[in-house]
Formats: sequence, structure tokens, C-alpha cells
Amino acid sequence: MIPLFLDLGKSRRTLLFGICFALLFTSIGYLAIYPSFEDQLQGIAEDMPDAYKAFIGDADLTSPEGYVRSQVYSLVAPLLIAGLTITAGASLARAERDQTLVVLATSPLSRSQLAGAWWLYVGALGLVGGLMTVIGVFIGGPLAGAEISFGAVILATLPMLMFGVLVGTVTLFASAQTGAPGTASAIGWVAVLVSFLANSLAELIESLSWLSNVNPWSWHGAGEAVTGDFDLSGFLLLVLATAVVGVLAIARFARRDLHL
Amino acid sequence: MATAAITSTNLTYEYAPGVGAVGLDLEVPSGQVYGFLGPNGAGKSTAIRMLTSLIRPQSGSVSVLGLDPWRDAPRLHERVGVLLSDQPAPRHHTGYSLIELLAKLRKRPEVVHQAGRLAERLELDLAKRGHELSLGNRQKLGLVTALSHEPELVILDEPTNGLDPLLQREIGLVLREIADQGRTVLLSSHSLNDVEAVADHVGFIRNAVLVEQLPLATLADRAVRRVRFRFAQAGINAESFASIANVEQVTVASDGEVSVQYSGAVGELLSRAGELGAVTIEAHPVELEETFLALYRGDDHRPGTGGSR
Repeated sequence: MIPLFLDLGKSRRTLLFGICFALLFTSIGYLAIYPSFEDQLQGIAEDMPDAYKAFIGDADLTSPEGYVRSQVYSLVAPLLIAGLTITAGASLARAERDQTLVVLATSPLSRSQLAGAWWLYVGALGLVGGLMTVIGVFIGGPLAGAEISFGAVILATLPMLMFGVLVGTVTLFASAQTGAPGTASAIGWVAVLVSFLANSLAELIESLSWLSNVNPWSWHGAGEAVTGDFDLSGFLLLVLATAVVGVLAIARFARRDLHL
Repeated sequence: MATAAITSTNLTYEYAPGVGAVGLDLEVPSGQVYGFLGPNGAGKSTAIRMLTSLIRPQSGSVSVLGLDPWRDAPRLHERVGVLLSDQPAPRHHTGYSLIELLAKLRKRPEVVHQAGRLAERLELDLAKRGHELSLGNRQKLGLVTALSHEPELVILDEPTNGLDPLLQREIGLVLREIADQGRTVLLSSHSLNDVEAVADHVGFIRNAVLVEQLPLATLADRAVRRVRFRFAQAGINAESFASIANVEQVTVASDGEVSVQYSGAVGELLSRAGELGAVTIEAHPVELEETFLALYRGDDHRPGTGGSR
């Protein structure tokens, strides 16, 4: 299983390198330009309706640390890490669709080991995305004037990369279920979008506040550890949900007919 | 009869009624080359997918090398080599890197060396990436990955697609060598010529149903053959031959040449030709294609040796 996991990293590496560099340089770029419009942003933030603030993540845009949360942890990093993990999760279905899975499906690896290697691949790409975020915030934070300890960056990044791994695992489940890469990717992205919208609606509409308890976007806290405490329970919920969906994905792939 | 490498009873997987493979009672003898024949879409690939653990039979039972392909897939795949029809090569792999990966997954590093020798024999450049390979070279790479770990059973679906006649012949030789070593080959093809030269046993599938399976030697007895007679004088009546019981078709050309298609014993036909003053006789090789068509002609159900449904 490990040789296969290592081999998976070689496929689509140009795209994955591209996403990693985009994550790194967009994070640094967003943070580097903050001082140039910090004053104007304060004025805009004061005039901004509370509902709109809630919709975009309710971060304090008037402080460098709040800006890091709103731009990196609520926008750039979750989307690009999801891009990495969704690509990884959908690649199982892609290998089935283009028939290159044949040589692996007729090798002595069990179906569970095959899907397990893909799950590891999803996790590894989440980790790489998290690492890029840490480097980006570590370099870009001081440029924005933010005072964030290295430990806080790690703690802020961990739940977010876990969110990415969760949506990648959801995509892997869709791959295992359907064998259709387009469908699997779409399900992954819909999960991200619905989760984001549900988080915003839970902030805006009182009767929907319960959504934040069941919503992975709320669990990852959008870099809460940068300005506050690390939400251990949210992180553990993300780990648990990922484990459940991953086991389901492996079980489904082990039992499904492969159309190769 | 030798023990069977593959046996199945009522093996069925239907994508839609009558589409797929229905009620297959396969018996593939060990140490032989089994030609699995049928037109495109007859159900050969569906059967092979059941034998190689890719799809789960909807009903019936199957044993491959004494194992259940679905339940014992990893153990079975250690002993089986598979090439599916039009199998692509992974884009990001060279031939070498793919073989190295498979050797690691099989925990058999010696496979790399064996693959190198086979690739050399098939004139395959292992340094090229999957997307750089032509159809024929992809087939060769598929064959190398299927054969290089020296499996007890080789299952090949249309392996000579895209290969030139010389390479087709070389593949035939490789498959014969495998059988001569006591290993088994299941060779699926829609081309009877591919199978005729190498098979010991053949099975015919049509419209998802295994019509017949029998030794090639037995098939030869039933085979439809063709001879052409030239007579000293023109005006030979087709009826002179058509009245013989085992004659299937008689064609009289304007130059007096008479072409006769028959099956079974040739004695009566030769006697009649002699009586009519035949000057020359030209015998054509066994036309497996015509035999195949004769087996299929007009009937979906033809009982035979070991046949199902």
C-alpha cells in the first residue's frame, strides 16, 4: 500500500504544485498589501452592515490578526486546500474512468488497501496545503503587522487542513460510490459551498443557529486560534467525521463493481 | 482430462436482460491455452471481469485456481496475470516505473528483470511514458505487466489488438511456451485466426451465452473445410456434389472450377470427384471462422461437449 501511496504523489503533480504555490504566494500577497490600505479598511469595516460581516466570516478586519483570519483562514487557504484534497479524492474515480486502475485492481493489493492508499494521499495533500498555509502566514503575518506566534499559526491551521481532508474524503467516498470523477469533484465542492453558506446563515438567522453545531466549516473555526482559543472539540469533530466518511469510502469501494 | 484452472457454474452478470454473460459453465483445463471466442459484445469481457474480481457475479459460482475471485482477490492476483481489452498505460508512468511499482506491490523485485527480457523480446521501449505509446506498444506493455511475474494463469482479453502479424505470431509463441511450462492461458478474441494457432481448447460465446466448448482437435473434426477441384471438362453439375450428406455448399465457376465446402469425412467427396474426372484438387486450411459461423448459424442454443444453455 505504501508504494502505491508514494506513487500517487507523482500523478497530476503539475496541477498540485500549482495549487501549492498559489496557496503560498496568495497568502503572502494578501497579507503583504494589508498595510497599504489598513486605514481605508477600518473605515469600510465601520460602515459595513453586521449581517454582511457575519456573512463573510465575522472577522475583525480592523486588526492585522483579524485580517489574517478573514483573508487566509476564511478564504484562500480553505478553498485551495480543498482544491488539493478534492483533486486527490476524485483521482480514484479518474483512474477508474480512464481505465488505468486496471493494473492496480488486478495486483495483489486488496480493494481496501487501494482505497486506503488514496485516502492517505488525500490526507498527505491536506498536510501539504496546511504546511503551505503555515509558511505563508509565518512569512506574510509580519508583513501585515500581525503578531502571531508560531504555535498559534499551527493551531489555527490544523483544524482548517482537517476541514480540507474531510471534504477530500467526502470526494473520495463519492469516487468510491460512483466511479465518476466529475460527479465526485462536484460533490466535494458542493460540500465546501454548502458548509460555508450554512456557517454564514447560522450567524445571521437565529432559528438556524443550530447549524453551527453540525457544520464542518463552523468546526474548523476559520483560524480562531490566531485571535482566540483553539477549539479542540471542533477539531476532534472534524477528525471523527473524516474517519467515519473514510471508512465508509473504503467499505464502499471494496464492494462495488469496477467498470474497467 | 487435466484438472481445471477455471470452473464456473451458471455464472451470470447481466447489465440488461441478455446483455453481459448468462449461465456460463466454463471449464478451462490447466496447462492449456483456452481460446475464448465470440463476436464483439458477446459477453467475453464481462466473463473475464468476473474471473478477475472486477465485478461480482450476480448468480452462479466460479473457482479460479481453486479460489473465489471475489472473496480471495489479493491471493488470486498473486497467481494470475491479466490484460484487459484496450488497456491503457498510466500517463505519468514509464514502462520501467510501472513495472517497478508492480514489482514492489507484488514484493517480487526479480519481476523487473523478467519484464526487461520480455520487453526486449517484444521490442518494447520501456523508457517511454504511457501517453507516448502507440496502441500496439500499450498492448505490449500490458502483456509485459501481465506476464512478467510468471503467473500460473494468464487471462488476456484481445491481446493482439493493434499488433502487426509478426508480433501476433511472437505473442502466440510466448503463450505456447507458457502452456508448455504447465501454466494456463485464457485467451479471449473475436478473431478465430488469433486463437487457431495457439489454442488447445476453445469455447464459443454468443449473445451472453456459452454456446459450446470443446478441444480444438474435436473442433477440427467438425470444422468446415473447403476444397477446389478442376475438371478436364466443363459442365459439372453442382448437384453432383450437393447430394453428398456432409457437403454444405457447392460453387461452380464459369471456368469449370468447383469449390466445395464440407465438414467431416472426405472419402465420399473424393470418390465423387474422381468419378467426375477431377484433374487437380486444392485443399484450403481449416476455416475456423466458417466453423464458428456454422455453429452459430440460426440457432441460439446448440448442445455440445460441455456447452451451457
